[in-house]
Amino acid sequence: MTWVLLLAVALLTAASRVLPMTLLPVPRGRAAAVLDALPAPLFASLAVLALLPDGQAPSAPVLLAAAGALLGALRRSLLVVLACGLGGFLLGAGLTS
Amino acid sequence: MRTADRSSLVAEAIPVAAAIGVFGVVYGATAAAVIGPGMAVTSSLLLFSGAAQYTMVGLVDAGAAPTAVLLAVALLGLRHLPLAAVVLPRLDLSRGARALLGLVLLDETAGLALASPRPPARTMAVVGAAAYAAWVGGTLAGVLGADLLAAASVAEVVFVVLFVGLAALTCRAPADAARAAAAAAGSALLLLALPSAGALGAIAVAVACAATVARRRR
Repeated sequence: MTWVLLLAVALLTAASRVLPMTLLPVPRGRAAAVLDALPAPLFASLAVLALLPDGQAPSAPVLLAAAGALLGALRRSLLVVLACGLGGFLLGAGLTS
Repeated sequence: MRTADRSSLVAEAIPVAAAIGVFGVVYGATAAAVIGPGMAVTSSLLLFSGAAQYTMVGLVDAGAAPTAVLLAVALLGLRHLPLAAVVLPRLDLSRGARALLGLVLLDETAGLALASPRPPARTMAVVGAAAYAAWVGGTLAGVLGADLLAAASVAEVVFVVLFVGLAALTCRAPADAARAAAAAAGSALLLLALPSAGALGAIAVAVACAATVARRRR
């Protein structure tokens, strides 16, 4: 690993963020409707991606954390979701240890 | 900004910063062993991207060529395209300001910008600054020898919880919840059958769900 490679990776990462934010046209019509509908499915898919790393089934504590987070989501507060999720994780860890 | 607004925005940023900080500790401890402490901290200062940094360190550790590292990071960067496309219509900013805000374009900052009742640009900037500080601070703590085992066990779960919360917060109607459930089920099937589909596969499923329902609305 060299400093030049690190700088090149940093430039690539910054460009992948800045270029879409500056060059993408503001979507209209059908594209705008699809993008408006995208956030909830996008984050649900990313949750599953985090739940199934490498396609492996999650452990019981992680499943209980996800269930706790879903329960906490009824309050529509991210802090409550995090607390319920971690509570579920600790409960699962306690039950399986 | 009123004091109440400021404190509630900070309260929204805390869970995101906490989750990212935990991952930073794990990254710092892992990366320091592979690329050295100085480069581990510098990589967090310059990249601010867990996915890119973990990939870079993993490939370097596996002896991959620099071109393979660059290709993998470039592919990972494609996930910023849908994020930017979702956030852009809500940002009434100059091109220069959008470029600056792009530096903190993450799943988490975009999610809160969409879900929060506050102005999206301000939300992204505040949450992004908190997340950056947590990521760099976490990396430093990991490099300095924070308790890796405890951090690793929490890191296993924080992003699952965080993304469940963001999915819930961005549901504005039962139809949004139905799309989110369909995307979760579709992504689970895809990732169990084809684990190499990874983040891009999961994003494709999400886009397909959003597009299908939009067609029905017409």
